[in-house]
Amino acid sequence: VSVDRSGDRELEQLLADAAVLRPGYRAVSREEPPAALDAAIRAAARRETRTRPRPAGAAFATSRRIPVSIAALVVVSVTIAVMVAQREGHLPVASKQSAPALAVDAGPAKDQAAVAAASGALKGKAEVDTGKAVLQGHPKAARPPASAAAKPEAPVGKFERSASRGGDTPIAPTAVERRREPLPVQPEAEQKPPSTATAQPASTSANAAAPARFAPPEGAATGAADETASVKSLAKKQAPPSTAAAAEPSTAGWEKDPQAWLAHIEELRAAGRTEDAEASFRAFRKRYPDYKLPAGFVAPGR
Amino acid sequence: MRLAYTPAAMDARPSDEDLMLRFSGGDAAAFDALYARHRAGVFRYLLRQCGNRAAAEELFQDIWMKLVQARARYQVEAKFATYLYTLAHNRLIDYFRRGKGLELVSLDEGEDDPLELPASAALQPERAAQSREQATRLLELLAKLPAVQRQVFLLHEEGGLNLEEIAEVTGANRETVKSRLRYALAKLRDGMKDYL
Repeated sequence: VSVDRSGDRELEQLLADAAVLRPGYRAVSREEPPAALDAAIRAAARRETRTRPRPAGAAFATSRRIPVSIAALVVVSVTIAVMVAQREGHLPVASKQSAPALAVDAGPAKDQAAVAAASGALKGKAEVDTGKAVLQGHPKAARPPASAAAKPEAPVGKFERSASRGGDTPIAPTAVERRREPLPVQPEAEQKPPSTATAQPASTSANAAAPARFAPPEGAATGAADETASVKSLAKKQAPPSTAAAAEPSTAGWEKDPQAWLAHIEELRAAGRTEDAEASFRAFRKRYPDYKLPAGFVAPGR
Repeated sequence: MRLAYTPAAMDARPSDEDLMLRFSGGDAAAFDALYARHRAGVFRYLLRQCGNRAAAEELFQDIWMKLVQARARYQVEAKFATYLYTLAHNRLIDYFRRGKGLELVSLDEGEDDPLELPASAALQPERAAQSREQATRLLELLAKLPAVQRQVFLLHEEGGLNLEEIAEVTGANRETVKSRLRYALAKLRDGMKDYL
């Protein structure tokens, strides 16, 4: 930076000339701050020197630490309590939107379990009670259909109750129901009297489907047990009184052919199993009531 | 300590910077010494600039309190007087921006009225009257100076700052400061020519 030395000399000369003003200025310019102000400022300086400078964040650490800790503890505690309560079903989860979400999120395996439960229930006359209840009820109610039909007033979980309350409202079927609809009901189930052997897996699968979707409370488990009992009783009503006939395997080849069946009956009678032969013949007659017996065939028991 | 081994430091009183550093370290007596050196000059600088004694006292207290509170962050980067008058300059700017400093210097108020000069017993009544008239005239001329010229004059007279230091305080360049000071001195000298 170039310095204008001539300018400085001029200024020095001006200052020298103006020096005559200085005594006059000094004579009149003698104002001072009041003594009280001096004392206040000095006292403030002494106070400041007595207090050590605090590091950054010290004020927060001392004044906010406890309230922040309490607030964090409360938030964590409430969150855990709500989560546990929802998990155990003490609180309604339970907006209506959450039910299909649960059902859809359950995944295809659980859908298959639900479908198995539905088809198993449809296999007997129980379809009148259970299947319609499922299809006409709230489609979003992801619950075992046989359970709802067996005991509609049974103490089931709150989720189930809230879902069943909307059973009259026609709502588009959920993904689970849509997947269930195209499944054909086996025609044999309508033609063939259900046996205890077929009814048992149906109720078992219905029970297995329930925990797959959500953990049912104790009431739901009771309902599932009742459902099993009701299906069994229905099966007993429709089954032949003979236990031997019911014990026969329904998939035996001779059942499909009347002549083979009659030959089988003859074999039983020849073997001395007269009662089995009679029971089998009664079943034959029930299955083929109009079948004309061969001329040489003698009906058992006659 | 940069002045500890210099001969001047051995003889002279501690510098402003040393006192401020000692105050930063917790030496309250160092602040007392520093305050005693600069209290009058800063106060008069504020008084002349804002023209109101009450306002000057308020500004004065604000500046020193800010200095006290900033002691932990103080570093010797310039002359202490430059630092102090920079605080005063900035505080004055805030004061003017709030519209409180638009009035001219009032020479008639305050307990330390410059017109109430203690007359020496040796002075004749005529000389005492002439001295009062001269002081009144000088302060009137100072008050009538443009603010920037008055500021430069006061920083030079009250703060003892040179051109570079005034330039640092005011944010103007050295030549501008020199020009302002030259104009201020010329006007004061011209106005006081009848008394010189």
